[in-house]
Amino acid sequence: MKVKVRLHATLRRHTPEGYQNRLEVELEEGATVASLLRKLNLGMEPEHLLIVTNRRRIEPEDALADGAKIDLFPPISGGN
Amino acid sequence: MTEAIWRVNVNKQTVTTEPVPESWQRLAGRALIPRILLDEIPPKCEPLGPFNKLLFVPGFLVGHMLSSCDRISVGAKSPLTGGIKEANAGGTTGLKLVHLGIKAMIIEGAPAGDGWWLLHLSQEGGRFEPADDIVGLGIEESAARLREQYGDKVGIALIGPAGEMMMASAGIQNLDKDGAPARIAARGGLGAVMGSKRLKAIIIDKTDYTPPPLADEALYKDAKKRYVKALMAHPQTKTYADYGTVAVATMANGFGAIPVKNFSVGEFENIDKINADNMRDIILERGGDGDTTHACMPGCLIMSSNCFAGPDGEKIVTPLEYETIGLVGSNLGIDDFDTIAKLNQEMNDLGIDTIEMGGALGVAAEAGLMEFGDGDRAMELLQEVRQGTPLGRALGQGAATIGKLYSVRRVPVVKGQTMSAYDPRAIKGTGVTYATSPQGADHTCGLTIRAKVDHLDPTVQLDVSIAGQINTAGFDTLGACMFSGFGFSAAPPDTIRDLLKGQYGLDFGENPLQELGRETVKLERAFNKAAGFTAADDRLPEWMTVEPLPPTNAVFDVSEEDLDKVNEVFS
Repeated sequence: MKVKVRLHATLRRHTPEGYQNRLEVELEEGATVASLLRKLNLGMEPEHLLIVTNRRRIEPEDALADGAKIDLFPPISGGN
Repeated sequence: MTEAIWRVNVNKQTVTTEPVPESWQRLAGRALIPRILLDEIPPKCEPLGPFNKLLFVPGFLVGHMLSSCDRISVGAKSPLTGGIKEANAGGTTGLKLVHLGIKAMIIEGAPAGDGWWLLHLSQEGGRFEPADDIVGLGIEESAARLREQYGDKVGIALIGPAGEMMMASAGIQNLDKDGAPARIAARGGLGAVMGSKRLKAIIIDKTDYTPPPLADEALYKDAKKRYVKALMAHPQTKTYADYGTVAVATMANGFGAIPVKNFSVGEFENIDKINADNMRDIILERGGDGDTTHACMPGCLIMSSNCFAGPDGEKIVTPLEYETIGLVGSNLGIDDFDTIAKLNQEMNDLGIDTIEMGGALGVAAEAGLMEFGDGDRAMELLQEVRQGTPLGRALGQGAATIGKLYSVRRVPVVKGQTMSAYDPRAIKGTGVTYATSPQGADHTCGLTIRAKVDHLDPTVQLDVSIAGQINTAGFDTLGACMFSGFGFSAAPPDTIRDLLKGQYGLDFGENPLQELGRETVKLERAFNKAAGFTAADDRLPEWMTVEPLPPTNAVFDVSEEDLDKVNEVFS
């Protein structure tokens, strides 16, 4: 199956083919977020990442569906 | 140098010093503000009247250029909310006040005449000087003239035209480490309180580095080493340096929680134009004054600030941050950084909280005073504020006032204060914070966007909000930037305790952050209760409980029972 991944802020420089922020990743059926992260190899512990799909937070152990759109955020928070 | 209380009487024009009362010694920064106000002012007093007092209180760790820990807390009874107010800022004000030996500065009384004054502070004490020649000038010109007169190494806290007109959206600007008057104690109308005392500016004439003494230097240095090591190792530090807070825009948008067109939608169609990647690319491409990485305080290693320049490479504004991008950008339907930056700089020059004015302009757009997306019209409305026209004065009083004036139902405020750039229907824990914080709606009182919960589930928000409220109040008491939190939480557990012990010789127990944070919120709630606040004030506006927010179509449905539990926790 395939999922679409968007990498935000600092994460975009860790992609396999260099500087990019939109990827399509081929995964085995029933793959979890953790297996996606292993494949992406972003150089950051999963606990530091915020992972969002369909406007909800998901965790490394959650399963992914074919065609899912995943947003990955590095550790960052607000300020004015 | 012994720490002292400096008391400034604007009626007699005297500045005297006193020893620190025992009951104030174990408090600092945000925590000391409600303690002093409870001890010294009638809680039901008029915020712009003679009985309110304006306080400048550095946090516990201020004075040693410990990374991101030199913030100044400013406080008073708020003319915007009618309750307790603390707003803190970076820059050099906190550092220099501590170097003068000031534990807290209390500005009190009512001015006798119509004149405007400067308060000059130095090792010789304090004195008043006339300021009538800079009255009416914007922040930039005022600060430039003051730096010319007093030298470019002094610290300055000052108000702009909004503060002079005692608008409830007025803040107090402070110089950053490079002398730019851009670090604002923004929220709740503290600039109006300073205006009511007829103080245009405070000059802190302390240019040599004289950190306060350490009770146990070895312990302090060891704890400092642990903190700095953890801070530098944390991936967050790198993200902030490269992108700053604007990186939050896509995150809030991803949760359907970014404010769009007066909080009517939670996802912005042109988010790619106002996201972190685009801002970084623009700043780097334009060069000139633009800078993706900037420290607002001396010694800061996080450096989350920035400088945004125009196509000609000339500075438009420093810094340009997420809350402003949310409230003045997507909330007004504006999708280009140049327009947002220009509006931001105009508000900075007026000495205005960008969140409050962004909220007021959003409500104004809904009322038909401007079209969403029309940056030129927004700028015209800010000129009304500058000129003090009736409409400008109404806008300057904030979103609640303009909403009432034009009978707009969709007004995003709690306790009269505009919400930050997270719609509480889609980040419900932050909604609990907005509803129940004694400060009014404010993300810096307990933002929950990174909490490991489903932000749409109303049953799991109470605990994350309470944890956030305690933590942020704790950091505000240390004088620590909220971004230092990643460093402190990654450092060994006794680091904060040892820093305090090393500096003061005082033991704050197993978990000083928790204890100080809890004590702070308790004192603040006690002040608000004495000022007349009840459970009815700890609510989001009714329309947010019934009007669904696209695209999640969530309403704010955390139970009233849960909201009322916050009071039990802090009483």
